[in-house]
Order: sequence, then C-alpha cells, then structure tokens
Amino acid sequence: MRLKTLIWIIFMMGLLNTVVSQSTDLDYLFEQANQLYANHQYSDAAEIYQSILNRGFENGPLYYNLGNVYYRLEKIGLAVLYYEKALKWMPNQNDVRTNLQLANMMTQDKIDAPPVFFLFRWHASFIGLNSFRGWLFWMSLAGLVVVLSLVLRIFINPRWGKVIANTVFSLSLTFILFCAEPAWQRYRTEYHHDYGIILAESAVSHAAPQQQSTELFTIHEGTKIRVLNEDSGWIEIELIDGKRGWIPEETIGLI
Amino acid sequence: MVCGLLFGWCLLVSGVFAEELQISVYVNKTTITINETITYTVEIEGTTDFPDVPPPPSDNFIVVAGPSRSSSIQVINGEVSSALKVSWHLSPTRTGELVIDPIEIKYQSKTYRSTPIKITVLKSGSPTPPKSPTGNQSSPAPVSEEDDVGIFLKAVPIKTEVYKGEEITVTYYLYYRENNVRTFSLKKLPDAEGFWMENYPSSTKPKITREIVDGVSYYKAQLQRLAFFPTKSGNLSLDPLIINCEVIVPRQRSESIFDDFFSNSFFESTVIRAIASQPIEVNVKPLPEQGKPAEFSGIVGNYSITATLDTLVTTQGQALTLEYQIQGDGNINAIAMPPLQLPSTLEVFEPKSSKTVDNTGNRISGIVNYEYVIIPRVTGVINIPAQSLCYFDPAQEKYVRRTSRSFMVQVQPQSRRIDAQAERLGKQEIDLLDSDIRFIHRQANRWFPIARPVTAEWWFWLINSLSLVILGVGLFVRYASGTLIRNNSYIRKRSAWSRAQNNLKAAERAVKEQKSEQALFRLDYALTGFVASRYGQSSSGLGLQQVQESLTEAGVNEKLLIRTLGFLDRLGVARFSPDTMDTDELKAMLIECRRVLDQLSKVI
Repeated sequence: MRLKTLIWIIFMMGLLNTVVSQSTDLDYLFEQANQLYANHQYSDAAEIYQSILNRGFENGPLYYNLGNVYYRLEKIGLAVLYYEKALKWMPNQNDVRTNLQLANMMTQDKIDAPPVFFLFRWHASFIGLNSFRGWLFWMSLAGLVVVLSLVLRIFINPRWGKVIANTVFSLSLTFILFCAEPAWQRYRTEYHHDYGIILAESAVSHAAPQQQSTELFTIHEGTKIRVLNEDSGWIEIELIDGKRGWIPEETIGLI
Repeated sequence: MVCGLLFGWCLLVSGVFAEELQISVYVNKTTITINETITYTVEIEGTTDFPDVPPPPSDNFIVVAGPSRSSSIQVINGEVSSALKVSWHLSPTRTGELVIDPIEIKYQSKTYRSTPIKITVLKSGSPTPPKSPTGNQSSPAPVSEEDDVGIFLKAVPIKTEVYKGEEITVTYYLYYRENNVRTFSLKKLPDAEGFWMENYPSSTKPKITREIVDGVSYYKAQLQRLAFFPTKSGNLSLDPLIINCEVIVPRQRSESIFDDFFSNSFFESTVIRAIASQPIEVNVKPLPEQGKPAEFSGIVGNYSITATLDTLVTTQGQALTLEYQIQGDGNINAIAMPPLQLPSTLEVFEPKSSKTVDNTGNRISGIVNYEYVIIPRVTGVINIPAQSLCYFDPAQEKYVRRTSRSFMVQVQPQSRRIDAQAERLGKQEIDLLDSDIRFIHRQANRWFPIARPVTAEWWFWLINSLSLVILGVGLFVRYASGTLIRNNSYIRKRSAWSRAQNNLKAAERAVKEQKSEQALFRLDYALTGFVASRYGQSSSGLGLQQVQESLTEAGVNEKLLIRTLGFLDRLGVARFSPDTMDTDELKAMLIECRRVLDQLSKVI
C-alpha cells in the first residue's frame, strides 16, 4: 500500500516537473523572441514565435506578437491572420483590435460590407465580451449556484429562506440561458474554421474549382473571407459583400 | 355659303335643345397629287361657347399648317348668330384612295361625330381635276401646288438600295418656274421611322441653278441634305420633308386700261405655301450572315481603332488611363466598345465615353473615345492585349476587323501602402493614419496545447463535478429523509441507540437524585426499548418473553442472552420494591445495563 502511494507521488511529481519545465522553456523562447522584436530583429523573432507554435502550444499573446512581427515585415496577410487568431483568445483586448485595424488599412481590397443594423452590432460586441472559455466558466459557476439554491430550497425551512433560494435559483437559471447563445456563437468562432485570410499577394477567384474555369474577381493579401466549401485543393469563399468564388487553398490561412 | 367642293356634313343633333349645334367638316379638294396639300375645315354654328376642336385624326395625312381659327358674330333682326372655323393644311403621306377619319366633338355632355372623308391622291405630275371656283371660301389655303404656282420640292437619294446601317444621303431641292419664292423655312423634317437621321448643315443662301424638267425650265435650289441610317431591314419609306414658302402671287385684275399699270410688283401680294417632298421607298438589305464575326455589334461603315496608355511604368495601386479612339464614317451612333479582355490583376472602372459627329463632309463621320481608369493590383509585368473592332464595310460588302496596339506595363511595388489608400479610408481609420501599432505583450501567462478543448480545463471539471455532487447528495438526502419520514420502524431502528443512551443518561440523573423508581424505569426502558427499536417494534408491552424470542431469532449467543434476560429479570424484581434499593445497587444496575447494551449493539 505504501509502495503504491510512493510510486504514484513520484509519477505525479515527474509529470508536474515535465509540465513546469516545458512551460519554463516556452516562456524562455517567448521572452527571447520578445527581446529580438525589441531589437528590431523581426525575422528572427518570427522564427522563434513560430517554433513555439511548432511545439504545439499557443496563447493569445503569442498570436498577438506574431501579428506585430509580420506587420513590421510588411506581410500583411500573416499579420491580419495572427491578429484575428489573437482576437479569438483576447476578444476584449484593445491592443489587438487597434493593431488589426491598422493592418486592415494596409490591405488593398476595401470591400464595402452591407450596413449592419445597430442591434446586431451591439449583439456582436456583447458576444465578443468573452471567449468561449469565459462564457462557459460563468455558465458553470451559475450552474453551481443553481444547484446550491435548489438544494437549499429543499432543505431550508423558514419561509424567507425559501423565497431567497427561489430568487437565486431563477436568476442563475436566467443567467445561464442568457449566456448560452453568446457561448455558442463564440464556440463556432473559435472551434470552426469558418473564416480565413488571403495570404497570397493576390488570388484570382474562379467560377468553379478548376483552373480553366471563368475568372470572376481578384482579391488581395489580407482580405478576410468566409469559407463555404472545400473541393480537392480548392476552397469556395464568400466576401463580405456577398461575392462568391473558388480559390486555391494554399492562398489562404484559416483563422 | 360653302365652297363648291364642300363636303358638308351636318352633324347629328339628337332631340331638341335650346342650343343646337351645327357642325360641318369639309375639305377644299378631294383629288390631289402627292405634292399637294388640302385644307381641312371644321365649322361650328349655333353657340357662342365653342367646344374644343380636335385635329383631324389620320395616319394617311400629316398636318403641315394649322390650326387657324376664325370666328364671326352676326345680328340679324335682333337675333345673334355666331360661327367658328378651324382649319388645318394636310399633306398626304402616300398615293391612293385615302381616308380622313371622323372627328368627335363633345359639347354639353353630347358627342357629335362626323363622317369619314375620302381623298384621292395621285402621283406627282398626274393631271388633277380643274379646281372649282373658291367663291367665298372662308379659309384661303396656303397649299403647295406645282400646277398652281409652279413650285415643287424634290428629294434625291444617292441610292435606294442599301445595307442595314449604311448611310443614305438625301438632298432636297426646291424647284420653281419663276422667281416667285421670296423666303422659305423648314416646316417639318421626315419622321424617318426605322431610320437614325443625321442633319447636314444647310446654307441660308442656297446655291441656285437652272434645270429643265419635262421640257420646262425651273430654278433649282438645294435646301437641305439629310443622312439616314436604316435600323432595320426590309422595304422602308422615308416621309416627306415639308417647308413653308413665301410665294409671290399676282393680284387678280380686270381687263382694263390700267392693267399694264397695275401689273408690277408693287401690286403683288405674298402667301405662305407649305411644300412637301415626295416620299422615298428604300430597300434595306440585311447584313450578310456569311463571315459575320461573333463579336460583331452592328457597326457599319469604315473605321479605325487606336489605343493609348499614359505610362508603361507604374506602381502597384496607381491608376492608369487607357484610352481607345474609334474614328471613321458610318453609323457612328451605333458604336459600342467591345468588352475589354484585360487580366484580372487589373481593376477596371466604368469607362468615360465621348462622341463627336462630323457632318461637314460628304458623309457622316465621327470620333468615339473610351477612357478607362485601370489600377494594377499586383506587381510585375502586366500585358494589356490588343483590342479589336469588327464592322461591316458596305463598300467592300464584307466584314472587317481592325486591331489596336497592345501594352506591356511594368508595375513596381508600393512603398507606403496606407498613404496610397488614404482616400478610401473611413474617419476612424484616418484618425489612425499617423499612429503605429501597439507594442508586443511581454507576458505569456499560460501555454495551452493547440486546439486544446475546453474539457481540458480544471475549473470546468471542478465546478461541474461539484455541482453534480451537491445535486446528487441533495437529492439523495431528500430521498432518504422522505423514506425515513414515511417509515416509523426504520426511524425507530436508526434512533434505537441514541434513545437508549438518552434513557441511560436519564437513569443516571435519577440515580444521582436518588429517584430509584424512575431510575429503574429508565433502565428497563433503555434495554427493552433498544431491543424493540432494533426489530422495528413498539417498546410498549414488550415483555421478557418477547425479548427472549427476538434475541433468539437474531442469533444472539446464549451467554449474552442469559445475561440480558437475567438483568431484565432482576430489574423486574427491583421495580416491585424500588425503595429497597440503595444508590450503590442502582449504580451497579446502571453499569450492568450499559454493558449489556454495548454487547447487544454489536450483534443486533
């Protein structure tokens, strides 16, 4: 019994040590890349940031810094792509939004989006208040409160206690329902690659997923597109003004 | 009194009314040549409040003058009568038996309708019946009559068989025998249905020559030159052109000694005559299908196309001006720029076009410019291919293709991309123009494996598990408590030990207070109550016999059974004489009871 416990403790400590050392290693790389960025060595910084991604780790600041590096290198497509990825992690970060706006100003295509009704705009801003994790965290907490109030409702005897438990129960349940829609929207945004950024200098949109098909329009680096379909190396895209066409998949990066 | 050629049509007046209208419709001639005109008159009597008179409705005639109105009021023997005459001068559009349709006049909610009038129109030069004396005709007709005053208008086309879209030039000459035309003015151009018409400039002082027509010498003045471009094929007709001539007319004179004296220009007067040309029949051939290019758009004539580009070296996003000029003669208005075959790397805006028609030469010619603004969106070399223009040349009777030059444009990369697009930015973006991106984030906080699911978050499991546990426990407790409440024997069983302990404590207190009877009762109740509760029975009435049976059924060993029964037996005896027991004996009983309960609690 004692031996088993000892082995378990050693295993857990080893695991913890691996995680901590891994994390320390990534922090070291991150800091090194930051230093290179501060010294205007943008290409070197980009390489190190990318090496962190290649190791299979990510977070908001990493994407944000990658966006900055590519902005400095005038690779606007990549800059926009990583700022968009950073937004998934940090939807309320003003720095990300500002830099993304600056990067978008450098794109060639100024596609006029159809006007959005102000209520929809508010709704979109509201959804962006939290990431999917954030919305889920608050929903989970509210769920805990719902359970607690339910249990209290069962066992508490005084009448005033039941009233309070009922009120807390109703409010928490309402809050959960209120958060469900934005949480779903954020989930779609973060876990579905519904959008992409044109990374090639320009991409010619075709009427069909074939090189010989009719050319419809040309879009340029940094333009955000919606991904509709995929067919043997071609992706059907839709621009914000509603234009549709097929472009080679290597010309875009998925957000 | 009406004229000799009066076709009087007294129109229908139904019933008897206070004001009964009399409406007469008539013409001055029923047989004319194509070059002549007739006077169509509507006369209304019987009211002073004259209704509106509509123009003569007929597709066979066109109105060349009018309406002219004249009204008169007469008072005879105190009775007032008034009349209104409205006249038009009509020119026929074709030869044959023509009909002027009836007119309808509305007056005081009644409708008066005339009958149709038949007019015979002969070809030019045909003899016409002698004109009847005009008498007191109230409307003198300014009519074109070659026979009358020796004036006619002749339309001379350069050809009457053309291809669709090919130009037909028609020259209009005024012929007159004597020098009796003082002035002239254009009254009406041909309607030219099925043609696009272009006007050549005409001189206010036309060149006058002499020409013999049918053995008669005429003065000939070139008045107008028009170009017609047929827009459809088939046999088409060009309507007459109509002019107003101020014609010198000698006054009527009698055979008197003063004739010679009065026969000079001082005693001459002028009248305005409307002169119409003859219609022209044109045979328009369709364009040949053989050899017709797919991109042919209906341009007919003889053209050239040139292209210019303002620069061959530019930067990405910089606008260029590409201009095409199409020049030549023919149906210049039909020219439309064929669609440009430009690479998709060029953004092309709607072209600005301008057209100049030149009508000063022998043929209609012109220049059409198309100015395109194009923006290269990629760097490198962009090829602007040659643009071709297809047209049909009627002189060669074949389709011709002309081609402009092509261009190779060198597009260099852009240096300041934001500045280059400043005019396309919104207000919020313009505010950001001078700002730079914000600095990197130094702190990474926590690293996540890529595409880490939310289920990998510790808080997710902690919070939701806690919720489930609390919910489970709560529900279980609720279920359990519900079960206990409903099951007395179960409650008794679960509370047997605590109740026994409570009874022991009560017995201990009674011993201390030396209340032996109460102490013995509590001890008995503690032990029998415990046994009864463990077996779900009521403790009241549980005698020694039942305790023995219960314990035996429970498999209690014999030693404990004997000890228990023995204690209960002693307790029963003591309860009959409680006063005989002292405190030590009671304490011993209490201790024994505790021990028995301890042992029993382990087996039942």
